[in-house]
Amino acid sequence: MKFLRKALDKIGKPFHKGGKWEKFYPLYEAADSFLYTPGTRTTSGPHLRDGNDLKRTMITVVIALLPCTLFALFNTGWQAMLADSAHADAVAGGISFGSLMTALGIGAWAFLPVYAVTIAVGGAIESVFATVRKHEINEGFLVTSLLFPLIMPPTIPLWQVAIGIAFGTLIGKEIFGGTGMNVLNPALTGRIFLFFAYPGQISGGVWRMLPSDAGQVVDGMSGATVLGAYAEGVAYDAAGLSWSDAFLGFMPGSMGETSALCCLIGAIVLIVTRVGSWRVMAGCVIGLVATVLLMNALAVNSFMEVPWHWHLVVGGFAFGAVFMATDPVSAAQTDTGRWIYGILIGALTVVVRVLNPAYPEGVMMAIVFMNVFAPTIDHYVTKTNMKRRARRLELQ
Amino acid sequence: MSLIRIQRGLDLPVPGALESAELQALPDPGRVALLPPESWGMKVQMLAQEGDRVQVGTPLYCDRRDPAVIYTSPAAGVVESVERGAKRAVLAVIVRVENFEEQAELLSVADLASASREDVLGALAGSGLWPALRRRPYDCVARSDERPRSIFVTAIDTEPLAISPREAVRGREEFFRAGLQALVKLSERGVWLCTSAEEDWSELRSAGGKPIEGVQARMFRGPHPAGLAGTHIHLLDPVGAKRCVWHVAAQDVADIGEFLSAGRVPTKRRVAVVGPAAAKRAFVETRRGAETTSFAPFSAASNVRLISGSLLSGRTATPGTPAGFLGRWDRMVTMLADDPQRELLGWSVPIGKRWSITNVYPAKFLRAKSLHYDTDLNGSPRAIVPIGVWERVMPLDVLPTQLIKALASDELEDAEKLGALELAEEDLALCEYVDQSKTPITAMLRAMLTRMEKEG
Repeated sequence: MKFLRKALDKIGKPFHKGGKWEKFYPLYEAADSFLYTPGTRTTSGPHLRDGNDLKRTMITVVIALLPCTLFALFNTGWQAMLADSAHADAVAGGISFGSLMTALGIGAWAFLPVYAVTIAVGGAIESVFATVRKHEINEGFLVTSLLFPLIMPPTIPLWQVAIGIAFGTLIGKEIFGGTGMNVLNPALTGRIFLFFAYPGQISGGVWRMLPSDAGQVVDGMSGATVLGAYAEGVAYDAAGLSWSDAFLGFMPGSMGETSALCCLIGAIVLIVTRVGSWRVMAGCVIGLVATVLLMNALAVNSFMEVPWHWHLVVGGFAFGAVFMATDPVSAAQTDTGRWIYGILIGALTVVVRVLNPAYPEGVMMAIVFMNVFAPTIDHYVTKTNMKRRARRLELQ
Repeated sequence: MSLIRIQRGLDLPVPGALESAELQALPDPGRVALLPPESWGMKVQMLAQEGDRVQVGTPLYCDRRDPAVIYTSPAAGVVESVERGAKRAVLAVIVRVENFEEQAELLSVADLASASREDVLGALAGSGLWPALRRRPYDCVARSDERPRSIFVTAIDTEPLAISPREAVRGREEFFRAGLQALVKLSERGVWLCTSAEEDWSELRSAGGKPIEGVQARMFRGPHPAGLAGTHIHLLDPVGAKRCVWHVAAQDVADIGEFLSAGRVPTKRRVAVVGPAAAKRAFVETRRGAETTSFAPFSAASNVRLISGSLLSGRTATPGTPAGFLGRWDRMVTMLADDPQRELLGWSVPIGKRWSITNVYPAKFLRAKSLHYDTDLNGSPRAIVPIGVWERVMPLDVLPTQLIKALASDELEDAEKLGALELAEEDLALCEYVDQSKTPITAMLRAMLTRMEKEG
């Protein structure tokens, strides 16, 4: 492996200060530190440092996302098979090795192009900005680029993916100064942009089929997502879905967000590794449950009667609470603030879902809305702390 | 005696602690030095020149901003060199040692019990022991024209691999008591004696069977930074722009007591030689300002960073350089391997033999004994992404994320309101240790404090 190190050092020479390619140092740095740990020594401050760095933090989030990603591949294919008469036989036999492979194949065919476009477009924007701004390429994009495809519906046109991630990266992140400075979660910004710009393809109202071999689509199956069905007045227990199926994720929806179980596994990984904020996640759940109980008590229609344990598992709530709300940069950044932020996301999710059925997917709205408010929450928490400190100084 | 529990913080699980607290004598160093850059804000005015013959207590230089405080030689011999750096700033005043017995004529006090504040102040300021007193805000050497609200005696040490300050004053209890009595005279509201909850210091704060008047005791329990003066000050007598306190370590209290009651300037210094890269570890008695070559035999290999102080807040003291001397306030010398290797694809899989406050490395649980500890930054500087690790190690009523962001964006007013004046580098060292974005937090704090002082 010494050979590789030497080769990299040789290639790297023109990229260092004074070299021909000095301007493109961030690109070299990204490739170099991708292959090797940087090996930099401490010069000021503590001589010994924690083993964690931003790369590893982000990779840990990617690891936490793996169950959701794998299930996304399977479920996308499986839902397509359910809707397509050509696969009726395979589906009737339940989940066997054969049908599993078919489902994964179809799912990969839907997911990977979206992922590839995200990486290509978003990665290019990141590199350009890093080069122009002369800072390192930030590893946050590892997470953004995986989150974004997972919150896309499987039938999203690829050009929309490109526009969406470009909008998310530029408006959601780069105009604020890049990773660490952004107010909004870039993946969510892209998604919300697509939601308003091209509601037909993304609203989730209709489960659109992947073209099958026969070029045939929906075949007698109820085409709505679960929340869409609720919004149309279907009672929660009459929507043709059991709670356990909803918990496991066997339902239509955006690719990665259907399985509450996989999100739960992700949550455990994030909390145990201490990378994700348990306060935000717990806040989201508390806020949601409390608001749903209030809705139940005041119920005037069937959507308001949907109990909390259904709200937790349908739609994108679990995914949003675990992976989107906890984005450390766009969330509140004080411990007290994190509680308030989480609780309000949970509450707003229900409000948007139930009281404004035009947008059945409330959690994304709620998170972006609270992203915008997070600095305000922090501002008041910080002001309280400053006042307390000033008073303490006067008293003694 | 009341007990204060510290909940948040971190005791680094670094190997290389002392096995026994038995005090060993170290051969006397050939050279000793005073290092002006250690005293922040110092403007050096030289009082001795290269080649001058000096005795213990002979003035070497003073601070132009507070000329009453004299920095004196810790040894008798010849001023070998005055090392200068950029803009001719004095880096070190090095004395070639002949002996440690010849003492200069110094003003002391006749009887400590009846001495006035002015007597004590005058004697200490001229003796060279005054710089043991440090001031918050700014963590600079105490100013002789100021009366602090209180003085904190730090008799607990929770820095990684530290030894109990009780060992540092063992056998010098009488001097420690005398030192406490002197400090009470200097302060406005008395002295806080901050100790570990595991130790009994009641004997050391009573003279003739009854407690020394003006000394209040507090015990601290919990992880680092439970033993930092900044923590004690924050909890017991917080400081601000218009209010200062002083703090001093236990060993220096005994030194002060020895000088004021016996009339001679003590030159000995007890330090723990520890660290993951220390071949043998020992609690040794050396001299103040000793050159660090005298600790080289303890080092395990050639690629070892010799640190005067702790892993978290110490200073690189490579033998043979102008910085290669024991620091004025340092209670230990730490050895840490200084040979980071570039590991192939180190980031991609959650293996790796590093310790982290997060649990991103399973090795922390599986192979705790074979973890690597060296000077590797373990990453490279990135934008601040606050995942909440700072809050885990911050026991004070300070919002670390907001404070660090205020430092990063050079927001002076916010930084002050968020508590920057209460802190010194050592108080934020843990935050910098755990930071995954590798932000130079302590350097930023010092830059901000410098700006604050300049702009008043």
